[in-house]
Amino acid sequence: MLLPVNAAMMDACVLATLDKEDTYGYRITQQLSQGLGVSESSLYPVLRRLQKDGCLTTYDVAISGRNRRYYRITPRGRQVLATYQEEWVEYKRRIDEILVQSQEENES
Amino acid sequence: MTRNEFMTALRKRLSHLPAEEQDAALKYYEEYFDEAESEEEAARQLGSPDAIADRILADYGAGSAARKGQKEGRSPWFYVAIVLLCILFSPVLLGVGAAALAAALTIAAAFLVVVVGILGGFLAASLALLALFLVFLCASFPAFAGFAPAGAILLGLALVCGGLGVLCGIFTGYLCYWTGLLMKKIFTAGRRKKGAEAK
Repeated sequence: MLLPVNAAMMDACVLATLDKEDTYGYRITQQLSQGLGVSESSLYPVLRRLQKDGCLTTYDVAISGRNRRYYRITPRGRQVLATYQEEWVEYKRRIDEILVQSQEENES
Repeated sequence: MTRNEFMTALRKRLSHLPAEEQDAALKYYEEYFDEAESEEEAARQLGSPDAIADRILADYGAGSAARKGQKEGRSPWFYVAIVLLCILFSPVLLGVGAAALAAALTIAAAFLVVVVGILGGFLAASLALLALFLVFLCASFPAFAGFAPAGAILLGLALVCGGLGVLCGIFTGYLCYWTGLLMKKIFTAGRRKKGAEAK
């Protein structure tokens, strides 16, 4: 993608993904690196930071002879996500107003 | 790069971090290789373990610095206490301030008095000498008429007094000039200091 995805946006997308269901490292890394067009290596720092901030917790599940670490969103994580969602709507509205509407005016 | 090489490099680069921090990162990347379809694919996707380690180290440094900053930051109570102390001791502070101002004004006034006194003294001396010159000069004329040597002595005294008076006047002028320069120097030095403080 031409427009970069910043750290806050990564946080928001991780929280939004976990808000739907608990998931494990490889899966969320694949989903978001493909979904956002970012490097696979950029997901671990985000997960770790959110964990330290108390926005998500982890738990291990035994699966085929080894442990798989799952991530779960916390109540605090949901609050933060709600704030990000509001911010995003406002951000999108403002950018659309400048970027997309001017384009429409040019076309008409 | 094989899984082994990747994990070894990462472990080595993270070895200075606390055990918990290392374990969390190593566990995540071990798991990533476990889940991936192939070792090569995972290693290709993840890229350089050095870059990954740099990022983790930087994040850890930033996080611990932020926590340290919070801990070392002064609590609001500190500032409240300062303000309260200022109010409580305001009579003392005002007293000290007034005393300092009074002392400064006294010194300035004393300085002015001394300067004006010296200048005034020299000016008075030169005027007095010039007056004596006139007095002796006037007295010498009748003296010449009576007894010529007395007239010559009086005329000589008049000229001596006149010469001294003129010298004294010139010196007073120089003294005024020097005092002016000194004042200007003190004034500009003070202004420069103020300017430096303002910057």
